[in-house]
Amino acid sequence: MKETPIMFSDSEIIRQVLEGNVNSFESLMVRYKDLVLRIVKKHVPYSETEEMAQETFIRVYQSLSGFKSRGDFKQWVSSIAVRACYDYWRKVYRNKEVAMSSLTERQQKWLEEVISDQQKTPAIEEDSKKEATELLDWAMERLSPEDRMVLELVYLEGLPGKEVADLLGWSLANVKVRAFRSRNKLKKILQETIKP
Amino acid sequence: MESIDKEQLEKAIKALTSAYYAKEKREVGDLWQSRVMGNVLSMGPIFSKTGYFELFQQFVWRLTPVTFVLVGLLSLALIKMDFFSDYELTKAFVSNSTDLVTLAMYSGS
Repeated sequence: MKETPIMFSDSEIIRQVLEGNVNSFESLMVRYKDLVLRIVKKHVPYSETEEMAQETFIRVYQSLSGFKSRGDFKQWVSSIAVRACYDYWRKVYRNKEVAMSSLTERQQKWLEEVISDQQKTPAIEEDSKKEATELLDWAMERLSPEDRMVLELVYLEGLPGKEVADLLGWSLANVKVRAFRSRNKLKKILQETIKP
Repeated sequence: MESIDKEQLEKAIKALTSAYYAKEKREVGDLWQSRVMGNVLSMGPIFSKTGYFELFQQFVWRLTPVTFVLVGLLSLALIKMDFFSDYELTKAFVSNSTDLVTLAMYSGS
C-alpha cells in the first residue's frame, strides 16, 4: 500500500491515481490529513470529525479527475473540506436535527466578565475554556449554516473575503453581505444573553 | 448591562476565537484513514474523464498538420492535371459553332 515514495509531487501522484494506481491515493491522504482534520475539527461537532474527514477524502478522490494540474491542490482540498462541513450543517438544519442547548449561568457570567474586561484582548484562563467553547457552540447553533460558515471563516479565522469566497464557491459580494449580517446576528445573540 | 458596543463585541469575538482554535487540539484516532482507503479501493480506479468538446479540440489540433499537407498536395495535383472547370469547357465549345454539333452528339440530343 505504501509503494509511492513521498518525494513525488502532488501532480505526479494525481497522475498515477488517474492512471489507475488507486493505492497512490494514500500518499495524498497522508500528506493532507492534518490540513483536513484542522478544518473539520473547527467546523463540525467533535463526534462528527472522523466522519467528515472521511467524507472529504472520498470527495477528493471522486473529483480528482476534475482537478486542474496548474491549480493549488492544497487550496482545492481545503475548499472540498469546507464545503463538506457546510453541507453537513445544511443537512442537519434541513432535517431539524440541531440540538439547541441552553446557556448556563456560568457561561453567561463568563461572557459578562469578558466584555467588561479592561484589557483589549481578554485572556482566557485554562479553566474557563470550557465555558468559552460551550458559549461558542451555543451561539453558532442559533445561526443559519451560511451565517455560521461565514462568521467562522471571516471573523474567527480572519480569512480575507476573496479566500472565503473561493472556499465556499460564493461571490465576493455575497460573502461581504453575509459577513456583515452574521456579525450583527451574533451581536444580537450575545446581547440577549447578557440581558438583566 | 443592556447593549453591547462595538468594542465589547470585538472582545467577545476575540475570546470566542481562542475557543474556536482550541477545537483544533482535540485528538482524533487513525482508524478513519484505513476506512477511507477501504472505501476508495472498493470504488475502483477512476480515469481521467475527458469531455467530448475537449476530445474534439485535441483531435482537431492533432489533425492540423495533416490537413495542411493534404491541402498542399491537392493544390499541386490540380495544377499538374491542367484542370478545366465545366464552365470553361462549355465556353470553349459554345465559342466555336462547329463544335456545338459534337457537343450535341455527346450529350445524346
